[in-house]
Amino acid sequence: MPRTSLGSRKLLPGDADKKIHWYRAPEEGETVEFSLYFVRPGTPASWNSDETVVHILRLSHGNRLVVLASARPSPQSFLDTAEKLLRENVFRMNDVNAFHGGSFLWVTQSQDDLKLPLIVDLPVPLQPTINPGPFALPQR
Amino acid sequence: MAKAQTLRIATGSADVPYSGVWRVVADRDEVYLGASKAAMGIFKVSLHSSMFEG
Repeated sequence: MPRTSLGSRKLLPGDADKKIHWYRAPEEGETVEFSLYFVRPGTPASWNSDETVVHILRLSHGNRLVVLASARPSPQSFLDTAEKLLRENVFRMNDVNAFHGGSFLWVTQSQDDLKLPLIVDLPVPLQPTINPGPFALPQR
Repeated sequence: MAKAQTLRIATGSADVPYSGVWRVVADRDEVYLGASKAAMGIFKVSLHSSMFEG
């Protein structure tokens, strides 16, 4: 989740009633990452000092799913691409206040040799429908 | 049979969210990741137990 020019967003109706593990918002130029690691039983695991263990889910056969969060400075090229996607994929509605919330997802991969799959959660770029007005109607 | 566990994660705060609320659903050794409960009917990532094999 990068910090974008669109700022904060709405919670979907009903989400506020649920237990949510919140991690701090990304600051200017940062991206918050959640990472999922599967850990087999008996396998020692350690994390970088800038990573926070959000929660550990216990799976069957002693396996665990460790959910980590971190906030890191983003490469400028990544932020530029996110902003370009927001500019080029505007969703238009007659009444933008009728929008209940949601995400605009960009699926990509890390640029290192691991090529890890990444899902980038962006705000939905919403704008009101363009009303051409009576003067734009074709003349008969 | 154990009940599926759901973890909800997000950035920011309830008053000022900076992401959608992501759901991590663990059912035995299967894990599903989605951007919201409603959206998981359309788009979700499935991580299967076969990854522990080999």
